Amino acid sequence: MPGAAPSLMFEHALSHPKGWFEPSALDFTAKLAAAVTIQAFGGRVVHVNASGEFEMGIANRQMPIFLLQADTDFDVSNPGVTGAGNFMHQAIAPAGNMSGLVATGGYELESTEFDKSPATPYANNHLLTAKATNNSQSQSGVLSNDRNGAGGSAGLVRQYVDPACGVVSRGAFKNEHNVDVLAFWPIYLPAVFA
Amino acid sequence: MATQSETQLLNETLFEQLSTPGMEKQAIDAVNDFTRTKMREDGFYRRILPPVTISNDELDRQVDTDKPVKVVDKEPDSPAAISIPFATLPVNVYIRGPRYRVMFDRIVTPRFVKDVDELRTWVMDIRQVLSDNSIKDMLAEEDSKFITAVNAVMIGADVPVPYNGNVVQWKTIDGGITRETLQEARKIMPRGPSHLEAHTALINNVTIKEVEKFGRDEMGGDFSQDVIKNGWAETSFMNMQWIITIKRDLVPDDTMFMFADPKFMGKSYLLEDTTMYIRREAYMLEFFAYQTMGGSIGHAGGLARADFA
Repeated sequence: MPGAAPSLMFEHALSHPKGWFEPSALDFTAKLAAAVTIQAFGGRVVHVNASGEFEMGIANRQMPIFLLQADTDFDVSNPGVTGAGNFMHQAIAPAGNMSGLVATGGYELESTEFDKSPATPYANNHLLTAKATNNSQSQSGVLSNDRNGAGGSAGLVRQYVDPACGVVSRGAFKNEHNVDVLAFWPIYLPAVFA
Repeated sequence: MATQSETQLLNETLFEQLSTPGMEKQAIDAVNDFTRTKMREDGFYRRILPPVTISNDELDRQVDTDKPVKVVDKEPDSPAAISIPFATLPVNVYIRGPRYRVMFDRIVTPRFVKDVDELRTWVMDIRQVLSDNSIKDMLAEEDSKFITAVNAVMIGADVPVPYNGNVVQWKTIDGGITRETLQEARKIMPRGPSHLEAHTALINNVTIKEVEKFGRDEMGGDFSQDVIKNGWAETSFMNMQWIITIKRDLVPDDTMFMFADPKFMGKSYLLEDTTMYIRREAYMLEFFAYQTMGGSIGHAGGLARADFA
């Protein structure tokens, strides 16, 4: 797209060093809810809402799901109306379905979508959470070890108190593409009953 | 129809192929042949906008993704010709034209899993079961995506479409289904700036019964007699090829979709046609079907919908 910054296919992504792909691996497919106003990059955390669609982050007892694709990926959407409102085409396919890995599956994952400036540096066995908002490009569904999610400074995620979606496995580092990633094992640990 | 013993023989043959190392491909081919035949007969999307199979070297590479994309050129608009006096030159028009992208996704059936020893007791043709289950799922998804896109282009009932000359392409027509209202419906598409004529009509198997009621004076002579005697057979009528579907959730009662010739509508591409994957591991059999297909409606003017009230 001339005029817009290009992107590399590994800048916003979920990698799966262990546990995926298997023909019966646990994944989940749904559309992105209209309430989400940001670009939902691959590697971000979502949950399934009451309508069966993805919304960003986790709260309470929501099951974390780690997106494999962005909502703008070419196998998810093919928008056909220009910024000026002119008709270019109407896509028959793709149908807008995204997929993600469910936190109860057995994987080790690496995500580019984490808080790069946490209040407390990532350490092995830190619990991770992801802010359950749909409108912050820098924070919604972004992994963080802070209980308030990305950008927070309230302290580390507490087990059995805050909703947790992962445990840091190998910390944050630059991967083979020189892109920052955070390695973790996904878990399902809902927040305290309220 | 195969007898019970013939069916069991077919099943045993399939099992033999699945049991012999290196023979899985033959088993897959046996199912594939049947699958493709049923797909061509049953899917209305493929009849309205026939897919073209393309190869890897026909895809257009992108820098920011390795996902398949096909770029399609669209006929450019041009200013009208004008009359000028002598010693005058024409205005310059720098050539530019629109393009659009066709992207792809995969349609897949559920993975069916079964212990082969439980399959041994079946007396139905297992290949029929395999392919029928898979095809129904895939056809429903294919047709659903197409109709969703068609409705999106036309915006809504009685709403002018700004990118097609502000004409209404989805029109409510009062008076039920009669010879007159059907002709009113056929006026929708030519009213657009592209002056297209409807090439194909899509209607469900309940609504077509209203058309079957037409008498000799409405439908035309012996055709009416033939329809009332034998029911509606797919044919050309009112200069349109009529497709009758049982998918009433996609094509509601008292609704008729109309489509221009495919070359005025858009493109549909197949990267991988329906393929049946079958694997046997020890005594567990698993199978599913998948295909990779993409499509875009590149021209809004090639669509019309009439809701008869």
